[in-house]
Amino acid sequence: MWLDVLMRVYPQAWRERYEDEYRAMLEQCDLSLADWLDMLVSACETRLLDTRGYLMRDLLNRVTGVLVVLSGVLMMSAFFIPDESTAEFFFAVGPLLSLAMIPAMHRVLSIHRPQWSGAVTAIGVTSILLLIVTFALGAMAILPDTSLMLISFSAMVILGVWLVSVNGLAISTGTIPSVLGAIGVAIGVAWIIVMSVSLWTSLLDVQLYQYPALMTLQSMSILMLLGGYMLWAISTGILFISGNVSRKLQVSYG
Amino acid sequence: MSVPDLGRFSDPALLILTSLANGQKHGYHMMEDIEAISGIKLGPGTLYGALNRLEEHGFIEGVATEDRRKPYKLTALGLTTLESTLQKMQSFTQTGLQRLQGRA
Repeated sequence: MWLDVLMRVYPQAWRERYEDEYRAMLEQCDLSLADWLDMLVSACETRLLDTRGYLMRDLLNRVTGVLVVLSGVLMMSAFFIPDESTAEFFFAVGPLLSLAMIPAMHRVLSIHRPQWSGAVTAIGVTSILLLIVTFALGAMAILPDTSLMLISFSAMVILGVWLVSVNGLAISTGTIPSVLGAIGVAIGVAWIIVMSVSLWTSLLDVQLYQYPALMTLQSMSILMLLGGYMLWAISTGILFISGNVSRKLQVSYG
Repeated sequence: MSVPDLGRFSDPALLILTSLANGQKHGYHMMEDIEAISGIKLGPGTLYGALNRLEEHGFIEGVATEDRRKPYKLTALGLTTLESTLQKMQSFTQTGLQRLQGRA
């Protein structure tokens, strides 16, 4: 009976993973009072760490969700705001807010695929670092504009690679619904196309209208990017706010 | 690489890794082995607290079995980590002993 009470102190996920073998071991032990105390302390500790860790992860996930939804809403609002400078500001700030997804997705994906998740996060962080470097170098004016443009576009392309890989990994682990993940992959591809074409036309001073097929591809990618991004950001954000993602993180034993 | 800071489970973790160094063992067998090699009697709660953390960090893994008593074994990471930790301890112990001999 006391053992049943003790087991109830452990978190549900721990019990699902270890209870049977733990009981099997205890059946062989001649338990002393010190052993019972040791078990009680350990059970309380496991419960406490589990609850505290879960609440913190859940809070972080919900905050991320709010930021990402806000990101999508800002992007969408930019189309309806007559004031050009405010619209431009919304367009710039919107995607920046969604960068909160990089650590959030890492928290979720590292539970399922630690190595892959590490690599994917490294891609995302690299792009952010490159953007910061570009900003700093731009402020110090020590590099020619062409070099700055090259670095910033590279950062953007790497960000696209992150979008593709993080959504691909999220689909394969069932972290987000496949449709949402597929939209994320499509946004990533569209982002890479838009950035690559922009870089090419800027560096070589090419007029895009001279290449109709490329211009069509670019236009379609921009449309996909805008529409898809708003849909992805708002839906993924709601998924995080709802606690759906946190619940998947709750079972982390074994 | 050394055994990461597992709070109050750091010492039990090293004892468990050492116990598993000569092959897989289940919980009760580990407790007996640890007491035999170190004279330390690990409580069941402490043992499973440390096992849980070692498994989370990828140092050990459960072995599939029909038995309710689940055996654990070292992973490649656990093996190299244990080796490196024990080598550091050996060097530390030797230095300490040499200093003590120098006092005599």
